[in-house]
Amino acid sequence: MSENTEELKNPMDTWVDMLQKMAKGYENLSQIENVDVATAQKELVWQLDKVKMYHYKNDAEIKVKTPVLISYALVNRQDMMDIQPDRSYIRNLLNLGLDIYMMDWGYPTQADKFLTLDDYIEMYLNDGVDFIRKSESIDKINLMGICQGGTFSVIYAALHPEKIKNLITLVTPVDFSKNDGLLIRWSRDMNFDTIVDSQGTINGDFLNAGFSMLKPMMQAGKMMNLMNIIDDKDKLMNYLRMEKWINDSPNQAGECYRRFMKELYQENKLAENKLIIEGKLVDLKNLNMPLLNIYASEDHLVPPSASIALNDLVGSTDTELYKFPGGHIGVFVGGRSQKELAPAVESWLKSRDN
Amino acid sequence: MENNQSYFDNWMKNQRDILDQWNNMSSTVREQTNMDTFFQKGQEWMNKFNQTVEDTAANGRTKMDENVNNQKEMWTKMMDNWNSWQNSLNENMMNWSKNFNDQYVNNATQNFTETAKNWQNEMMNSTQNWSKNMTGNITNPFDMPNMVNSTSHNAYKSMQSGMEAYQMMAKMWQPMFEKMNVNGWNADEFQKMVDMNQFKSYLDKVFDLNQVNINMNSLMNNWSKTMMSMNNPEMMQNIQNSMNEMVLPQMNNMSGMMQEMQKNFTAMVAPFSKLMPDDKNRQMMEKIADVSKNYTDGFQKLTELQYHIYHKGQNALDNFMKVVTEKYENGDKFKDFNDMYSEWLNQSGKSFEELFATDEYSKLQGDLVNISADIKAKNSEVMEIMMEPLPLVRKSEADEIYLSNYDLRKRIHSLEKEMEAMKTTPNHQEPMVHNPNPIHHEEATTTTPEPQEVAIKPVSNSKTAKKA
Repeated sequence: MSENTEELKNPMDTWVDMLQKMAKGYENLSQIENVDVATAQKELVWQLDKVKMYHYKNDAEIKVKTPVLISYALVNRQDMMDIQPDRSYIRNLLNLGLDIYMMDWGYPTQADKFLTLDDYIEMYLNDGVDFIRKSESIDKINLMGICQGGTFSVIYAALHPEKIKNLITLVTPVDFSKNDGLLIRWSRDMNFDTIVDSQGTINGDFLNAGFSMLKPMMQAGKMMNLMNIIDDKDKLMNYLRMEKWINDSPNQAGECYRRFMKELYQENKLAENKLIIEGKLVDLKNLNMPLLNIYASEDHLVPPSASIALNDLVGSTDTELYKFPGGHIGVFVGGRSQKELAPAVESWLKSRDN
Repeated sequence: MENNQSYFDNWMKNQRDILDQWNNMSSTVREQTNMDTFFQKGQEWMNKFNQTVEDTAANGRTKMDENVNNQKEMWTKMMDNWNSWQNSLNENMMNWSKNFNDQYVNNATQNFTETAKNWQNEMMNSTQNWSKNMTGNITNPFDMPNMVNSTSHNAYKSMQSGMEAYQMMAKMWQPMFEKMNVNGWNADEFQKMVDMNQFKSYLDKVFDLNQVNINMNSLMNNWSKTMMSMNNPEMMQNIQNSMNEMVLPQMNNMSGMMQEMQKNFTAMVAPFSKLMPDDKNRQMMEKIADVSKNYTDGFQKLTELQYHIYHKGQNALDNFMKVVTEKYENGDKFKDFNDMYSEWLNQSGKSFEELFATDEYSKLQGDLVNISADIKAKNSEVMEIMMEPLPLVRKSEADEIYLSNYDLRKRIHSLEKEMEAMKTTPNHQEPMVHNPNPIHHEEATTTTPEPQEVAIKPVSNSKTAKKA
């Protein structure tokens, strides 16, 4: 039994302090009219059904001539990459002289439940790529894929290497054979046919609930953090922007989700060169353009092993693996990322822009 | 400690007993009941049930408007309530302080610790009630005069939910903190002091098990009462009243309302399924019987999952005690409860992540998700049959439209691509538009020809929409 000579503050006193903070928090929260995210200027340049493409306005001198098309995941929204002006991967890239286009997959409804993986790759992504090629009068573009959007980009680049100059993948799952990561582990025991047949489009809240369970005590921890910043309006706004993004979770088209989960997560067809898209085999050896593969070392959503494997599967002879210390989201919004990630991407692209 | 470890084992045994009782009662009733009477009563009951659905839907909209107006009135009073609650809290604190001082000065024999604990419980319960009222008032999306954006609203809800969990832990640790100030840290003694009911409530809160803690006793009791009182002429009136109450909060969530009705309906009429004539009612009841089995399986799996979470929570608490013991033995200490709570979140988070990585947990969770999806699918099929007389588009009909829409969009896209490709070919000429069903117009006259119907060719590669 240890002795403790200093008196501990009574939990009730601490609780009363928290209660007072909560009341203050209520007052501060109710005064906020709007939570702004993704404020970098952009223009809608193309649309097909609910899928749109934006072109970012850039006043800086363009230093990488070949435009970059960013393909984000269907899960959550690309706004995270431009969450606020001082934590914006997009703005950092723009300031470094990149010409950026962004795919916006939209908000699927039940009317979109029959959209397939093939449609997303060969219709939406392909048409988007062709639009940029035509409007910029170029044969090839740079393609940057994030998470599931990175998987789409890898599939696309393997099917259409003639259209892609350089490929960058960030926190992108490709090899689902290891049991690293709870999402991969849990997917083995789910019947995605039943899930899709019962839902049609997969509810964004259903996906979010799964992600929340990966870190079960995180929600309680967030409450503690919120209490500590509740009086600071700037920090409170930063918190709310992230919350807005987390809760902005589009549904996923059921048929696309079905194939993605069954054939990639459960059967690992992409890494094993068995995936068929629109009747064509996706052979990763056809991916012959330069590849920069960025992964996050503490990523609990896409375990590093699922990303790292890509470099050994492709046919390209110019491949680079970039390890970023941090988590799945931190790689974009973390303080270190603002200084390191965008310059690394710009430098790599510039040296391959001839 | 032995008592704490056996707490969740006893809970698990209790849940299994409830399930066994439920299954046994179902079998007993089916064997012992007069089937002819059941058949007749069942048909009458079904007819009245259908009428009740129609009546309730009509009543529901009126009731909902009343409910919204009531909420608005409550909202405007809420801040007044908050202020008056704060004032009474301050007053209580002052009175308590005065009483304490008087007692101390007069050397009273009353147990100070007991008094403080009772007062603290009273305050915490009062705050929790206020907190629930606040949450109840601001969760109605129609009624947010002071929270103009949903992000703030959600953030406050999360904060409130987190505070409720925090309060539970603070309440649990309060007696131990008192002891710590007197005798220092003592893990063995503190483990004996853990209130397992409180700890279970905390875990239920953190993992949102309150929502999924289906009251099996209540469901079973409802079902058994209904089965035994089929001759009760007031039964339908009670069902009507219950359904009105269900409709009020859920009229804007038709699916939720139907699921609730479905749940009670399943419990009541499953035995009839083999006796009804082979018509839509019988089809529906057969599907309901399937769903009943799913519910039973689901409850069983859910119970096991909860047990794993509770058991791991217990382990996490034991580990936490060890970590803190080490901390104190090294001369370190917590500066306040927030410090300790943060450490608890850190340690327990790791413990639960270990649980979630196990094959057993993954299989249980997967089974639950699959069963839930199956229930949803079968409920949809039942709704298809139930909704047939109502003037609403059913899911299967909407799916047919969606599929046609999808096929047409694909066809249009394909045609556009072909046209684009043709434009870029050498020696391009404006293409002849190939129309498989050309409209033959008369030579231009002063009158406009009547529009003719164009037959749309069925798409040959379309997927077949799944029908109920």
